[in-house]
Amino acid sequence: MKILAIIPAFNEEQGIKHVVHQFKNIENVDILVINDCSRDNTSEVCRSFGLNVVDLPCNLGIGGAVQTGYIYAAINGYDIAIQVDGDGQHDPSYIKNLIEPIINGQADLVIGSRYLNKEGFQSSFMRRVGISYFSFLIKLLQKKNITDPTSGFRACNSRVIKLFSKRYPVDYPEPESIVYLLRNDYRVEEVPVVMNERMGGESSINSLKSVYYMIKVSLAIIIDNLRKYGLT
Amino acid sequence: MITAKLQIILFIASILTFLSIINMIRKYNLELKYSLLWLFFCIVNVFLASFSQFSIGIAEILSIKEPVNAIFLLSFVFLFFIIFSLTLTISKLSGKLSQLVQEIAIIKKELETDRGNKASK
Repeated sequence: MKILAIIPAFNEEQGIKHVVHQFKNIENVDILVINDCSRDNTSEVCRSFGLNVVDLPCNLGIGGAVQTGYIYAAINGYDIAIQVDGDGQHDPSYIKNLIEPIINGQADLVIGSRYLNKEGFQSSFMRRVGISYFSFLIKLLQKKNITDPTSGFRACNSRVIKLFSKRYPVDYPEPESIVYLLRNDYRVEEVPVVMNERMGGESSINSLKSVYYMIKVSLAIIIDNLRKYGLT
Repeated sequence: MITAKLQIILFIASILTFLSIINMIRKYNLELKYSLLWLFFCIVNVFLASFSQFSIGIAEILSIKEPVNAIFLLSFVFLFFIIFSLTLTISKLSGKLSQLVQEIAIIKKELETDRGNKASK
């Protein structure tokens, strides 16, 4: 079974060192770093550790960067693709829990949730309010409980890889992609994980952008829910 | 004074524009990111059409005699914002385009050198 870890990285030369360290004991997983036109030495740092790097010639944002990974996975016939943030927040030792439901054929996409067991780094209060709002919205529209819809720690099978390589939401893709999958009858499940605080770099969401983020993602989710079954 | 006829026309036109934009996004013909400004101005227009106090108030603040002219002024401002956002987007795109062209040209050059090396061997 071929497994690919997709690591989107934008100015993460500090974070990526932690990620390399964390991946030391993980076997049978190929790593692909998508360098989203970083201004720092992310690409050089990755290469010095012998990692596979794709350097995007211009900045695409998280959606376009991650989709590059899915296209790579589809071209190279990977069975499972795992998304891991490039800032050290996600502990790769949970990868085996993440891919278990996929191997057993119980799910198409598995999300690593920090709120199922409420352990480890739980994020700031305002973030948690935003996250539970998206949970509520998804529950309202798709009747499915997703406790951590913004989690970027996810694994999916080859059917979803193919789908994502054709179309993947831009800007802030995680919550929208969940609705996109549920609307087309894919099975989305969650497993508990423990996340760390980010190590270096800056979050892609700051307080100024958060209002824009909430409105845009809400609209994106609602409009996606209006789309017909099978429209991909 | 603002006539009821104008209010109704403005109201219906805004609602229709709003719905057709949503429908185009739904069909993947429009990108939500670039439609947000349009959607926002549609909502503002619906408010302007529904409550004439708004346009009357704006006309008073700006010492414009007719509230209708205040609506014309606002339309002008809306268009200004939308056109400016397009200019902004085009600037970003042209930057990205030249990056892509340069990258492809360099890759092409590397391929040619590679082929030349192989042929000479």
